[in-house]
Amino acid sequence: MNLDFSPAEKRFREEVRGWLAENVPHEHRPADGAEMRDFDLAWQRRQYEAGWAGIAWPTEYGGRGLSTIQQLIWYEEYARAGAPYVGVNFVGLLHGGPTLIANGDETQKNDHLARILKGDEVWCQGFSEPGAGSDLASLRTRAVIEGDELVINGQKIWTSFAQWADYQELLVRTDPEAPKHKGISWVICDMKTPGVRVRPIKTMAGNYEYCEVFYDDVHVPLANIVGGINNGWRVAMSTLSFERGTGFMAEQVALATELEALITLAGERTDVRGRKMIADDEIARKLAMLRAEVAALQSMTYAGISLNERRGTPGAEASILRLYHGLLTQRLYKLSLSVLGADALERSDPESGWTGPYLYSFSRTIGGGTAEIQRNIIAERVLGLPRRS
Amino acid sequence: MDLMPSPDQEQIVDAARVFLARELPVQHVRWEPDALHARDRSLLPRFGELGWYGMGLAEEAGGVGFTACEEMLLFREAGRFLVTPILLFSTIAAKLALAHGATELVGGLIAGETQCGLAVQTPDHERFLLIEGADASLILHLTEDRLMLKRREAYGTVSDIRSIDDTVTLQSAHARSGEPVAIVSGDVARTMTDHMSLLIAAMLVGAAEATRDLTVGHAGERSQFGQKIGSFQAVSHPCADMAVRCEAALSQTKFAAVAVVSGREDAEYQVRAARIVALDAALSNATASVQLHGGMGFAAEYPVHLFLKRAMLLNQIGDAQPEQLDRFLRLGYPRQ
Repeated sequence: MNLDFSPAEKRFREEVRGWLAENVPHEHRPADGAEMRDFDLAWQRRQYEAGWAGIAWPTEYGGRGLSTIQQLIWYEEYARAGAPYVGVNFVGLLHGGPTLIANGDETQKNDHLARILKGDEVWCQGFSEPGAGSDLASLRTRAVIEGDELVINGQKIWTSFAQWADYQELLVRTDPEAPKHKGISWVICDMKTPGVRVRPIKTMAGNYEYCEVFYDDVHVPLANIVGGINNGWRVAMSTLSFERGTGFMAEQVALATELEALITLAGERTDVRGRKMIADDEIARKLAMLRAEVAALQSMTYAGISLNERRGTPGAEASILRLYHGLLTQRLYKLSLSVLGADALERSDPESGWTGPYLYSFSRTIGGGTAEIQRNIIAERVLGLPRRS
Repeated sequence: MDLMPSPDQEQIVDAARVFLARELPVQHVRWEPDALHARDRSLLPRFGELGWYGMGLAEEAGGVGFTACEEMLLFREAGRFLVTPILLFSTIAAKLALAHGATELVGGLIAGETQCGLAVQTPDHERFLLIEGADASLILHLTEDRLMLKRREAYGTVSDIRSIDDTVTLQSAHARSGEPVAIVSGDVARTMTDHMSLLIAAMLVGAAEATRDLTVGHAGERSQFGQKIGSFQAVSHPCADMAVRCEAALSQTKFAAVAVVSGREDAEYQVRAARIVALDAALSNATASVQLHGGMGFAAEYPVHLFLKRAMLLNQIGDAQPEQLDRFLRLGYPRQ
């Protein structure tokens, strides 16, 4: 057991720190709209051009081919520099891209991976449906083979950034006769294909991140199936393991910055009687508890990386980290309301200030598998408890 | 950077776990007449033979020469098997004696021949509570800025009182005047107190893991309504939460151990964080475990309640919550 970084890793940190100090955008990230997409893509392009995109991606697809530890160093420095949220690039960089690296054929990899890294294409997810949320495997969006194409009909929901995306990782039912986990395929869907219609949904945080997506005789080449026809459940599980494993490393690391800002705020702000918020024992002790838990989150992130380095892929234990991170984020922003007092009535954007992130934090135990689903995974696959009957 | 134990460290853990599972299965605790005649008392010299008290002491001082990482892993196992905190007190006492230059005390402590208890001052400052002082010849005594080792005779008007933790002895006593046999202050005392907190955190992690495992075992065996109760989410989800708390506490305690060993500036920060999350894990898991065991959990014959009581006991050594939280918040945030 050690916390030592090698000389090469230390040099890497210095290099990253230097570059971020010079290059992190000073302007505020737009919270919504086309200007948000433009901002996110421009920032991604800047990282790519300087050689910082896809740190742990293989070099043959435009990445740096570095270790998960270097990826961690990047995120630590990224958070320290206050660099912007990954935004519309989330699915491409942390979901679809890694899935293509693990399961895609050479054409699929060559067509997309470098473009994702360069900020040339935006991806979105198409997993959940109105009737298939936690029970994802009962999804009903149908794909029928016609010649060398799939013809897709159905509906997806809770698709982040669908209105800004060029491609979608889309789960469709290609064999309605097979058992529900066996008849699914993971396909790359061009969002500009005729028959694809997007309807944005306003969230409780006031933005339009989520969408419904409708498919009306959408033709997709069979060549866009990733990992083989009817093999989509396995591919989707690998996608979700990236999300649950390393997908939120940046946010996990950044949470410490958020909490320290809240502690500082509690030392500056006063209540109506002029007393410092941090002088309130209840607030102070909650802050201290959160601080210890945020330290534990960092340690769990390190422990998870250590395990990955030994074992290769994230296992079901990743659900532990995901659940802890989600609940901790919610407690942090909830406490910020007490520190703000009546100022908590003013709503901020979802990624700045406190009240916007508070509202947005409700999604942390819903998206990517609800807290309840994560607990099922932990109970059944980590603890070996009997499956639900 | 690697938070996984090395193969050598795994071996130390496995050996300790096998030994304790054979010699001190927690189910045995229920047959013990009282804490003084508990099974682990007869094992105190065996712990010495195994090198447990001197695990983190240098070889030239008679120790095994390992670091706080190996000690942390050992104390996690001790917590899992409800080993008497004499192991903790004697381990710290040996370090204290060595730091003070009272080398004549070290041998007896690390052999397990000299037992050490601990004095906790009551909030009214009127008297002390001696934890595991009944058979001890030495008593650890912590104050705000000092760490002392005293002879047992330094405490008078001793009377037995009923301990919340059935498996340890508790006495009420008054301090007499008299020189401690070893004393450290300032940075040395702080470092040693942090070290003790690290090992307390490790024991709390072991306790949290033990109640998780007892509960998961019970939920996988017990049937009601024609199914294993572990298949009900009302049972399996609290079990999942127990696993989450264990992972958080274990990861932070490992991180803290490495911070201590490598002399990092944030060692105190990481240790306090470890103790805070480990106490929460031990108390919350034991509480959930009593509930999920139903009537069995409430019965004294079944061991889950002992882990709750042990966590309450360990909390009172050094800074207890909420002082622990208050001091932790006052520390500066360690920047990389």
